Amino acid sequence: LKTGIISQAKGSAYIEQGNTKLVCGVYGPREVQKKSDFSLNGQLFCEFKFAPFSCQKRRGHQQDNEELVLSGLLREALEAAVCLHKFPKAQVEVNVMVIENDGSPLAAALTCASLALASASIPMYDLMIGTSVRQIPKLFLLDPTKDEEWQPELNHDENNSNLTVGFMPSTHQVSAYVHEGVSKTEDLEQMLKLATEYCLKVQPVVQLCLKETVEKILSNEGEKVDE
Amino acid sequence: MTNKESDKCLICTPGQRICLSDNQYIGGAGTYTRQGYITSCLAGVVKVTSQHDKRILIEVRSGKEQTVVPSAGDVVTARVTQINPRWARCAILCVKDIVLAEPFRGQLRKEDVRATEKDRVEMYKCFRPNDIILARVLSLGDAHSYVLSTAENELGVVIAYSEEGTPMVPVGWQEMQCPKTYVKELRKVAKVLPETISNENATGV
Repeated sequence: LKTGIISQAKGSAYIEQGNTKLVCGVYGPREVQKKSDFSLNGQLFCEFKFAPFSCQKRRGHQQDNEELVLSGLLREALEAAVCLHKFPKAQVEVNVMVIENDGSPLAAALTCASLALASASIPMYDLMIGTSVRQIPKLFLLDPTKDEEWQPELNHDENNSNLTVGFMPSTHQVSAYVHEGVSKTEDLEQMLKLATEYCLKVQPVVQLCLKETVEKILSNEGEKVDE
Repeated sequence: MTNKESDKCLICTPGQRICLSDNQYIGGAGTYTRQGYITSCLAGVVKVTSQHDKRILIEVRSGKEQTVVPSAGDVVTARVTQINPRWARCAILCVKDIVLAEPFRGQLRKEDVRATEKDRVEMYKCFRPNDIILARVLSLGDAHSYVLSTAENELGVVIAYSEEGTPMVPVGWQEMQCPKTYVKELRKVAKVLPETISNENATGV
């Protein structure tokens, strides 16, 4: 986990979860580009992109349907976390680029995006942590790799599914809940509980990273003042 | 609560509870109140200041520039981009004393240029493109731009360039003079206090 890797962006973060590597850049608040929308609250524009070399099969340069869906999910999740009323008539852009995809990109993107937003000093209600749970009969796997993830073509039988959860630890709110596959309701409850417990464990790591960022900024300012 | 103390600073992250919200503690910029606790909005340093009425104000300041957006009643610094007999379009550069990373758009209508004789204003005699003006935000306006006003003595043109390109010196309410060619040009001049003018010239705004 690292912040401040894109010097031109207002805030940025890099996350490595296993072999999955993601970069996120945050720009804003800017003026709303699309003239049609006028709202008293701020707006979030999310763009989710896989680099052409990130998956086993080469992806195109334009956004395809899967990326559009993921962008929408990311946006809905982040809208719950960001204090939109603090910047009326402005928009914040969140750009996520996946460098290497080895399972659960959405979960890593949720964590990375909230870290980038926090490092850009955008007012947020809470940090957001994402995890995913893979269910196979008799077992639950946390943060599966690409091979372990549920593939829509392969597993069509019962009790095979993938659940991605976006969780805000301090307020105990779930803001993203994406489920693919077939499961029983009791299993779903159990998977959700597993995911939230895991998110609570990850929270100190994210907080530590943010604290180091703030300390670095403070020490940079101190040096400037001395000069 | 995991607050790390280094150099007597309390660093906090979004969603971290700072203290109980009761009569003694008030949440300031960068905080919000939830479930009876004052919670932080930003990743930054907690500043505790005591106020006149013996209450304590808690704020969170981050090292980076605050996310500032012009709001109604703020005095902003803008550069005039387009002039029309009815309005002037501007690019808002700073809000109070915080420089924006990217300019917002503002519109200054003919009726809002002066407080007196509103209908007999001629825009070409008040502003020219590329002038730097001080204006007040009247409202958020529509999707295009904020609505600005210079209908006060302290608002109006602060820095303007003559036809040759040299910065002009204000000579009265309506005129500015070029120091090289001594040509006078008409502008709606802002009555700025002397210290403020020298500060602006020094920073080269």
